[in-house]
Amino acid sequence: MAKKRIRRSESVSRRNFVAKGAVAAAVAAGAKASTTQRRDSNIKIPSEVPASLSEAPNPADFPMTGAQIFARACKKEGLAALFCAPGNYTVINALASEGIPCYGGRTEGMMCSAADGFARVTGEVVAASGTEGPGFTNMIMNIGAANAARSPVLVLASNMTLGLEDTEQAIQRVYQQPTTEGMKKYGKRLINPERVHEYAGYAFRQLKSGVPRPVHLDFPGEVARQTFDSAEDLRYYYDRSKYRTESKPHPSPKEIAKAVAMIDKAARPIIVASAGVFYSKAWDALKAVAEKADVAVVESGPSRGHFGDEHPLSANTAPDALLSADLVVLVGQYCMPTIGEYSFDPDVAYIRIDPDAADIGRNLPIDLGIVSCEKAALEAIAEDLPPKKRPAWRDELAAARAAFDRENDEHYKLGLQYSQQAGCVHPAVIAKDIEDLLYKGDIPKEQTTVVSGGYGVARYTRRRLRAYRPGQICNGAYQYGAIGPDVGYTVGVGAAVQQGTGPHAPYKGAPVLAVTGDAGFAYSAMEMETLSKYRIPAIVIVYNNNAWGVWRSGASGGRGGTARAQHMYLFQENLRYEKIGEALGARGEYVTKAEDFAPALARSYAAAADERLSTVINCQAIKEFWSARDYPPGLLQKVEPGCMAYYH
Amino acid sequence: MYGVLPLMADWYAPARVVDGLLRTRADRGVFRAFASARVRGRLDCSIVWLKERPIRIVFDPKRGTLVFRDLLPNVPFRSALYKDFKKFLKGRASDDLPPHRRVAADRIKIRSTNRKSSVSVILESLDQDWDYAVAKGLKLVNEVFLGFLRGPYYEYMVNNFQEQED
Repeated sequence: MAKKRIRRSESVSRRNFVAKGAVAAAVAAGAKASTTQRRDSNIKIPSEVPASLSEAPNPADFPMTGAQIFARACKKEGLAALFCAPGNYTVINALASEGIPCYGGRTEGMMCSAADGFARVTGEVVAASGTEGPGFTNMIMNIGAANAARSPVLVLASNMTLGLEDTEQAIQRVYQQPTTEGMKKYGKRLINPERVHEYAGYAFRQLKSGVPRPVHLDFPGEVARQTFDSAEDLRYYYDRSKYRTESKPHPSPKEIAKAVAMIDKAARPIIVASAGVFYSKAWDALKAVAEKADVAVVESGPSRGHFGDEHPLSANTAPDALLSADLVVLVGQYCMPTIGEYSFDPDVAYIRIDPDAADIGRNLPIDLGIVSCEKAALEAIAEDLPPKKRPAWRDELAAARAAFDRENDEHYKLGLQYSQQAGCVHPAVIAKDIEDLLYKGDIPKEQTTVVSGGYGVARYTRRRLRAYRPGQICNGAYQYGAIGPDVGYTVGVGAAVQQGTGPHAPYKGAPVLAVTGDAGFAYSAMEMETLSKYRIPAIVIVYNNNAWGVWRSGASGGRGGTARAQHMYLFQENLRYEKIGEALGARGEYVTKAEDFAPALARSYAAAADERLSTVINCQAIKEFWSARDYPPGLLQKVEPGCMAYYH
Repeated sequence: MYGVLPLMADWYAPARVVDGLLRTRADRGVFRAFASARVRGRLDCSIVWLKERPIRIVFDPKRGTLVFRDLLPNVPFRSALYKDFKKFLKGRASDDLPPHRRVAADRIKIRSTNRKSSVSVILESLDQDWDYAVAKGLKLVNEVFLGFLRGPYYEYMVNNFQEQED
């Protein structure tokens, strides 16, 4: 490998990078941005934290509590991590003792989003936990987001005792299961201590089969604390090979033959590769189909990278080519768009491949439905598909990508001009500088995993964020449209990279980067402390335009002659979000000029790579950049599927 | 009588063809909803398709025109949007477009009207190939919503097509 993957502990390489990179150029040009580093403060990670983390696991053995029985089942099932805020003590302590990587954060909700983020970029089953009433209900928005993203998140919460059900004795009582109705694949209040292992089986059967979604178990004290002297005290206590299967649905040869014939006949076929491709780890099969017959691929879903953006058959950054497709193969598209949401021709034919027969045909008409594990179907198609060259289709994709790049460059030119005019930083500049640092400089382009969040800023940054390997982009606002959990996602994504889980193994310990807005940052800013405590190196870019992204809805004299409403959409101007980062043990950068952003970003990356320090980069902007009249093109619209997609 | 019936049959044949072409697509699930009626020698269709607002298509067999009536509301005649829209329509016959996306200028004439800020699009078939005209008309409208209007018209979409603001 020509390029070294991780900069951490490679100081010579890092120094070279800094010396050669944007920092040196900007410093030479006299650019300056205010910086406060964590080392300047007396904030300390208590010695108990690293000491506790370095302790050897201490798996329980009989006699065991219900919590320990459950934790052992989780360990055997390969539960990848737990994110929690204290509460549900017996269960989280048992999971930690088993050796499952555990992270304790500041709010249950954001720890649930951390679990969601971890799942989105690894495809692994991961847990979130909180205490009874308040801790559990703090997770609701985040469970909703995980559900919309089809994330295999195991939601755990303690829930007082069965014996005092309905009494309101003491505090924190709530009926949990009705609260998550419509936001889970399966849920259960555990009421029978002897069946605790059996219900772990119920949970993992759901989490590891078909289309994943959250599973919610609530633990009354009688179940978590019950002691079992031996396996004989438990019911259905046997190995996972007896309570669930790894078998997956395979396609019928007849349906594969029909799909192959349709693809072969099409002039411009395209595969929409979504969540199911990632979860089934079907990226090699996907590539084989694409390359065998020049089939274009465009991504959708809560993560990106299962078909690399650099591939000549990628349509991720070729939005205009989508309308040319004459056959669309939707693979693992769990969250289905409706008519008019995906940018395809009205006369296009649709094939849908999905493990859930009950969902095939929903929202979009199908010409062929195939019930199958995505990987199995793609492998079968790859085997039977006759080789074919479609040079005109390749050329059209290339032309559409080039046109998209030109459009981005136009935005950048305007962004520079607007930054000068307004004396702040336009989002097109942020987007370009991120792209230059992560993919066009010395950093290997596959290295950095990104949490793509925010609202208006994301309409610019998504266009330039690239994915070259599976799980490289976590699509923050995906489907549920929650713009707030971005720092929560960053904890989970950073933990996945820190652990080197799944596709992140080659980049273990590398910095992660997140984009968010000032409105969103407010929901999850405290998790900068969690990033700092665990030395998860993250760069969190906060686009600060002094307002909610939808501020124009309340503009005076705006829609419907709105009056007295604008104040509800605005914040105080020039707030110093970077100081929140500094106050929580991270670095802070405040950028008020376009030319200062690239150096600040480079410094932050270097601090993350070399010292495992996180940074908040507060990018000062103005809300008026969303006005198409004053600063065209203003708030950008999007085309789905592809790099801009976040609805589906 | 014997002379009139074949004449009426000829008169309605293109309308039946166009109705059938649209109905076939409705049966395929291309539209969310479809209804058609013959009104004063014309075929008048209403489809719910890309947005919740119904699209009205009027086919006039005598003139050989397919009209997407009042397709875009609240577009002032002198607005930048209308200017851009006319340019977009003109560009549909451009050689810059790949052949499968192009409208053959010798087969279809495209124009727009703007009455009281309501924009209609008219496709006039020059060769009476109704299959081609319907296919190109639908592709054109599809590209209006999935391409053209995704330009700098966010506010317009929010105000007129209830585009979600989040």
